[in-house]
Amino acid sequence: MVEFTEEQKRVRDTVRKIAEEKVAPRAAEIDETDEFPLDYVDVYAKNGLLKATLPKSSGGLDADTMTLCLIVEELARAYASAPQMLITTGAVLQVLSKAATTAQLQRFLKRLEKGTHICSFALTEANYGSDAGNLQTRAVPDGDNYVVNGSKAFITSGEVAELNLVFVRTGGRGTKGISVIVVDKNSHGFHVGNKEHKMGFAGTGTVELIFDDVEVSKDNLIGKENEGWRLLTNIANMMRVWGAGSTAMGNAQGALDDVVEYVREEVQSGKPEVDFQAIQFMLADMAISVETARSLIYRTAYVMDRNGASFKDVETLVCMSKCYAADVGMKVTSDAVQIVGGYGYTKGSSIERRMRDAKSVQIYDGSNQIQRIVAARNLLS
Amino acid sequence: MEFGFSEEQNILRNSVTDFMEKECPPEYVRELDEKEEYPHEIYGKMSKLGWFGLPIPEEYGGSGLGAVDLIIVGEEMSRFSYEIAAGFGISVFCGLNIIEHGSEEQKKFYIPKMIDNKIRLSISITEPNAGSDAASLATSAVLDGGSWVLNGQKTFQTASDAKDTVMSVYVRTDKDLPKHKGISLILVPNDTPGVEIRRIKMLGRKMLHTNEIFFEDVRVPKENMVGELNNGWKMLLSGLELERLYGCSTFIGSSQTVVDLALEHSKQRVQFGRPIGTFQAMGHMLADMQTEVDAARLLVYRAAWMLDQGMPCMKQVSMAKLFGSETYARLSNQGMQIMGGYGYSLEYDMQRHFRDSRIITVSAGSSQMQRTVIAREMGLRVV
Ligand SMILES: Cc1cc2nc3c(=O)[nH]c(=O)nc-3n(C[C@H](O)[C@H](O)[C@H](O)COP(=O)(O)OP(=O)(O)OC[C@H]3O[C@@H](n4cnc5c(N)ncnc54)[C@H](O)[C@@H]3O)c2cc1C
Ligand SMILES: Cc1cc2nc3c(=O)[nH]c(=O)nc-3n(C[C@H](O)[C@H](O)[C@H](O)COP(=O)(O)OP(=O)(O)OC[C@H]3O[C@@H](n4cnc5c(N)ncnc54)[C@H](O)[C@@H]3O)c2cc1C
Repeated sequence: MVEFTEEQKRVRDTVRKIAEEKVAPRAAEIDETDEFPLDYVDVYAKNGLLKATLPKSSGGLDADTMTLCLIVEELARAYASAPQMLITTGAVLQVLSKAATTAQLQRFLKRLEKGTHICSFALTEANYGSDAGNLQTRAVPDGDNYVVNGSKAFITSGEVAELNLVFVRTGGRGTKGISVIVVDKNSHGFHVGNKEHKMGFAGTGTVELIFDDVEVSKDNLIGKENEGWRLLTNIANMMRVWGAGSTAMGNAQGALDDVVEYVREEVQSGKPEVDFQAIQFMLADMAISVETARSLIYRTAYVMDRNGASFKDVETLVCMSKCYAADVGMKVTSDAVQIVGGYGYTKGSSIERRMRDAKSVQIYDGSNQIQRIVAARNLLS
Repeated sequence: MEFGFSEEQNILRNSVTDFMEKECPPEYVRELDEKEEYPHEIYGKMSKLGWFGLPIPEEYGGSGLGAVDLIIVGEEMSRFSYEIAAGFGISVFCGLNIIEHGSEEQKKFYIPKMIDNKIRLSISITEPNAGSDAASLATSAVLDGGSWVLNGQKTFQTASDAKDTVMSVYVRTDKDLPKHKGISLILVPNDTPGVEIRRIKMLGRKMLHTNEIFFEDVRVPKENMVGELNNGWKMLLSGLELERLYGCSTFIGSSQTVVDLALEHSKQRVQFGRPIGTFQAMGHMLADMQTEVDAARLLVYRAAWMLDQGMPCMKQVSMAKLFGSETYARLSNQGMQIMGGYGYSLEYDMQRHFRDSRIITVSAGSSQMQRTVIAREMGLRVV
């Protein structure tokens, strides 16, 4: 069923080369230092990847979902942190190109040309994670501006983002009082707060964002006031398949690659590990689950790109893809440590890193429980 | 059927809990983990109470506790820190091995020092080419006059770099015998010339450290051999039940703490206007977690009881190790899920459980090796 277009193949091959030559060699170091990899930014920018989700008319790649899946998969296969800045940036630009006015889009793109192009997607707050619909960061109208107060937590790429797509409360309680505004990092009163020290996903610039009487022009409101939640559910949440889903699956594929290579070498050096059925079957199961996750993700991308299915069916497929791939990612990377044994637990191996990174995907971008809630709701409604 | 503990055992449990509550607050554990420091201070306090002698026979200055007693200690200690409980066990069990197989002089020399915390004992079996298949170890010891001369390399050695540690090194003393037969046990102080110890950076076990050890013409007196020449493999296996069971007890204490942390969080953390623990997916996950901890606990208790009765219990011990280690690893992952982004943050303790638990299904007899033992005990000649 899966047949890639020439363009998709071209992008995949380019990204695979970048992943092997530029991304993978730096992974261990970034994991150690937790520094945001500006060298990745350069490579991505040179290859147009930061603007992948933009239409060609705006200088983008006009990448369809399948292409985005391939980009993220290839990068995550080298290092799970690597595609995260593309995911946040890609999601923001996707929202802008679908929901902003042409004038807004032009203005923001011009602004991005002056910097790194990195954008953050700022939804979560310390007290509102799964329950983001009740978020409390406020934007109060004041003449031509909004005055924004509050804070966001766990914001990927926030450390370096030029523009932040921020979900704020402009109306009453719940999801009906939320709007989306763009906040420039240079805005007065906007601060990048503490870096979140995490077990994995190093170098993804996850920070707190603090808004202290930040004046934001009303021109920076995306879409209509109090209709921000729709932008989230209708546009942004779709990134769960090519973002989180492909991250988890690519990372799992990488773990499988690493283990297969390790076991092959062991066999060559005369160790009998691969003779053991228990280990062989684990390897087979790992490959089965990675391949299943990939099939589900590709099918979801295929359905989305054909534009034929109902929103509900697409949303269900997206939730299933994210949830399943994240669970597979956790299991496969844990099994990888088990198969490799003590060496898999050392910091010198990529194996333990992949396991730490895999965990984040079960939690972020809507925890796996939230994906199940949505999938079940769609099944029953 | 009698599920209760004796009066003395209850007192023992309470005294361990009281001590740990006072001396081992979460901040202390966090600090040692972050600074990657060996827990000398708390071991000093434990030794003042005579704890390192708990299972040691009274004639050598210990209290002669049995298996059930000992797992009570391990369970309670590990509720506060998995690593502190694990490191305690390593010294104590190496000491028991000396009691079991050593000469009178060795017992009189090493055991009181171990009990008084003047020395620590560590165990050296694994080599780069001898992991699960430990009997292929190749580090050699050759007699030269009055000394053994050791050459070779060990890897994944817990706590062998702590100051004043005497390492129980399993070495090959006869290459021509079948691989299980040519192994001996030699005691090597870690500051002996020719011993080089290098830290390996690991995902977890930050306090105790994991090391590589290189032996280059390391000379120790002939008297440092424990037991008979070429009888090492038997010594390695003797006492294994109690040692494994103690290890299991640290898994259940740690697993219980994982449940407690996740439970507490699920009561405090409100989303959608309710504590997240009141959502079925969370509440039921916690119910499963507690059920698994209790199942693991019962497997450990049963095996310990059998051991105290003098009954053969290798199968039961292996089941306890298999299920207990898998439980701690699985639960720390679920505990992290329940805590969401906070669980993933290094500011919280759950990530330490995640990191520390990920290797216990490999070390000290992997899950696969335990399954093989169990299947063999069931009459299958599993290869
Ligand atoms: C590495 C990383 C990167 C991130 N990047 C971003 C980012 O770029 N932008 C952003 O906005 N956010 C980001 N986040 C935040 C992330 O989206 C949240 O962590 C996530 O939504 C979960 O919220 P929480 O951590 O507050 O957990 P909580 O919402 O407190 O959830 C705790 C547990 O309760 C469960 N739960 C919650 N509600 C229910 C329910 N109704 N039924 C059953 N179970 C429930 C959850 O599944 C979870 O297991 C990131 C997080 C991480 C870890
Ligand atoms: C943190 C840590 C601390 C340690 N501390 C010590 C210590 O203090 N002293 C010491 O001597 N050692 C120590 N070890 C070593 C530990 O006991 C070994 O890691 C363990 O014996 C496994 O060996 P290995 O890592 O070489 O893995 P391997 O033996 O290579 O095993 C790799 C995988 O293959 C599987 N496998 C192997 N043989 C079989 C089989 N026959 N059938 C089916 N599957 C099989 C294993 O289950 C495992 O999944 C420690 C290890 C770690 C990680």
